[in-house]
Amino acid sequence: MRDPFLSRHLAALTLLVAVSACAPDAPVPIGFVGALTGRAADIGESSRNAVRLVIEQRNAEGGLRGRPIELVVRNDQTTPDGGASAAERLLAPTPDTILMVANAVDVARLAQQVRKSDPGVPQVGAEWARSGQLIEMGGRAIEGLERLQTDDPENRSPRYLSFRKAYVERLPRAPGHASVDAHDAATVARLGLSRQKAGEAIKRAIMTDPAFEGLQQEVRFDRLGDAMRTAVFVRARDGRFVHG
Amino acid sequence: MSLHRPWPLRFSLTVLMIVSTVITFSLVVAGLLVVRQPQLARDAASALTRSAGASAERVEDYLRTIETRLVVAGAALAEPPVDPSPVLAAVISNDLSAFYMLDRDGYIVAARTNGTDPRFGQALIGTDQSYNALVREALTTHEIHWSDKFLSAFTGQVGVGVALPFGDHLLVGELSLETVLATLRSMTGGAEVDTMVIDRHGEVIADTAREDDLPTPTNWHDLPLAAATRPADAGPMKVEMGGHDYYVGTRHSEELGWTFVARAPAGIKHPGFRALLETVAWGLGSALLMALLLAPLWARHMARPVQDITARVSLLAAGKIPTDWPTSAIAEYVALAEGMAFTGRALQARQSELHDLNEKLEARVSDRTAELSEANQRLSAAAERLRHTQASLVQSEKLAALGGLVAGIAHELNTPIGNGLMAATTLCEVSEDFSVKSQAGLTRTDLRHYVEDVEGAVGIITRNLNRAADLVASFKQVAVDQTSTQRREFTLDEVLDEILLTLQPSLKRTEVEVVSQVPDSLRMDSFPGPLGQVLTNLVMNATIHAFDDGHRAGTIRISARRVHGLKLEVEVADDGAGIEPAVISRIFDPFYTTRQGHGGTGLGLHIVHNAVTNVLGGRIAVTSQPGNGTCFTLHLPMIAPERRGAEA
Repeated sequence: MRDPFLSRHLAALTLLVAVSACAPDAPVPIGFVGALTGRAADIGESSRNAVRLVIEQRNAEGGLRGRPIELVVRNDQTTPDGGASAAERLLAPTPDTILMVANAVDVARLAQQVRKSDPGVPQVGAEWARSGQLIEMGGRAIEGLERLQTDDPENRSPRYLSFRKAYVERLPRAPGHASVDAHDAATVARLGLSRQKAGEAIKRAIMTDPAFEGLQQEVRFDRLGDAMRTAVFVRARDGRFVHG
Repeated sequence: MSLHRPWPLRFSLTVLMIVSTVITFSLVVAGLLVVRQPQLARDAASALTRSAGASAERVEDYLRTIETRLVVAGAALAEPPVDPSPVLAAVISNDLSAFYMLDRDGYIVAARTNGTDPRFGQALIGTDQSYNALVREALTTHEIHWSDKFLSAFTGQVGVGVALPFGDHLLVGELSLETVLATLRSMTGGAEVDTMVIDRHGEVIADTAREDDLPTPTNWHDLPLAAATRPADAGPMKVEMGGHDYYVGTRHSEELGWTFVARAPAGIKHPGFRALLETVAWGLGSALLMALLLAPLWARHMARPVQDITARVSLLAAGKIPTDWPTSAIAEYVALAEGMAFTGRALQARQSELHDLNEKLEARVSDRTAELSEANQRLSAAAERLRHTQASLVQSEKLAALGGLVAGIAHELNTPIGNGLMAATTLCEVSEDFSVKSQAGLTRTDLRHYVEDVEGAVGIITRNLNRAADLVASFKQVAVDQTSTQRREFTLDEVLDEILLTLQPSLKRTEVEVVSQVPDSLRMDSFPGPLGQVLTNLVMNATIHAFDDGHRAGTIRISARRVHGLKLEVEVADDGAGIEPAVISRIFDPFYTTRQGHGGTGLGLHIVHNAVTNVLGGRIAVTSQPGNGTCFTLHLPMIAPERRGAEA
């Protein structure tokens, strides 16, 4: 509470800004704000390296519509002032799009600030910000914000609808975005326990048939145990997330 | 099944007192459990409801002061144009984490924060909060409104807030959950009572339990509804949290929209019930302790008179008359002691009486003893004479038997010797005749006749002399056997043949036939004399008694066989008159005879019995049915035991 929010959140936040350029062959600049010094420096550095690697690969394949991509890195020094200064410098030219890889509270606050200065720039959030609080705190500032996520708010599968009905009957509010994932996790656990033989690890029991019927879609575990699902793009419209 | 050792009185009294203490207390505890527990539960439930109400009032009072501050600020800001910042700064206090003003569209127009960087509050000016549930509710209803738990855009923390609409604007104050909790905690609900506040959605706003005592977090949406619809007489309301049961009391605050829930452990963990149980346990412990201390002393006090009386009774039993019977405060003991004293005196009187009688009796007994010993002496002398008589009679019986034997042998010898004599006489005549003829001149034919006659005569003489020699040898054996009780090895059939031979003259005069069915293989190492005497007596006894002195026709059958081991079974059976049942038990008695005055001595079977049991080491049994004959059975060892001295 004592720290201003930038020092607590921006350090763990990667802010990518695509800045427009005028010339047709000029590189497409992509901004990166992260902690490269200070106590969260390792997160910033590893994030930056990953982004750089992707851009280099993309450039080697011919870049973005024939234009190379240029990475513009700014260090927030893991301090509020450093973060503010880095963001200001990066945002000095008008960006095309802002992608915020952060939690719902930070995305809501950032969106509020972005909307104060530029009502038009497109905003994209990550699944990390998949929370009802994003709308409550973001208000109209997140109108039009796009988000990629694995749960589908417009899903109409009978299983999901009956779950939704039961949830609303039991509690006086709609299920949150994480409810679908949590329900799927509980289903897998229950399946695993019912299949498990004496002395068998529950993971092994689950992997004997790694596909199961989730609340909204079939979920399949791959060889490494990662859940494979179809993701959907949603967009904030009138205080709700709907299909973009 | 044996009874265990009897308990001493002291021990049994001690056990009785302790057991009755324990049983009494167990009944008391059971009674308390049945009667007192539901009452305690009801008391607990109403106390909890009061506690929840008190907590709600306390929190409402406190939050009303915050509302008042909002109202004051609203009044100050109602007349625009006023710069809101100083007003907000003047009103905000430490317990508010954020205080801000919004326009009717939900945009923040002024903000103050507490504990965060002031720049942060400034940065939020112009941001849109219209989707915030609290803001939306207040803008829609135009009434003061307290929020549920929500995530604050200012603090990034979960808190609660109050919104006050005024004019075209809205004032919002936010509080941290810690502030609500601190207020709740300042209102203690008593020992082991915890209070929680739940919002309209059933989520917990604050809980006074210590961090590590918090029950499993869950949603309590149903609880206020259940409490409200619960019938008044349904008993205490009980819920399960984190594996434990709790009694709960609730109070819904209309003002705040929140529900206050006070809870205390239910059942045995309930403090009131536990205190009751502790009291009972203390009582039981003290009573047991007192029982353990007092019971042995009391038991000793109770047992002492009994022990004293017992000691004196032992004296009494030993013949001493105690005088110092113990006294006691217990009536039964006094009665017992008096009774025993009386018994003692009565015993003493009886004893001296007995003593006198005893002395008289002794004198009489010694008189009688003298008389008896005299009679005894007379009897002994008579018996001695009798024994002498019996022995001499037995001896004369034996001699008589021997006499009979000699007569029989003489008769038997008569035939061969007579035959021999006749042949010798004939030979003599033939020789004289031959001598006469030889002087007149012999023909060949004469010589041949003479030789034939001589051969015939000599043959007859030789045969008859051999027969006589055999008879003499046999007689000698019998005589030796009969007169001397010598032990030797023999076969049963050989002895039997000799005996039958000697009996032949006597039997010849009767209609009785003796059949011997004794195999020739039965060897014995025994006393042939007594055995022969036994057989002789049995055959003669049968002839006399079964066949009426031999006038009746019949058969005496003698058979023998080897039974298990070195034992023989010899049977002498007849098909004669049989023996009357009244008589049969006495036939072996000496001098018992049914032919008194007809020459019977009554010693025949007595001698048989003596010889079988004393000399041959065997047994004799008799079975008989009147009219169907009699069977004597001898069980004899093939090897007789060593003799234990001279026998008749």
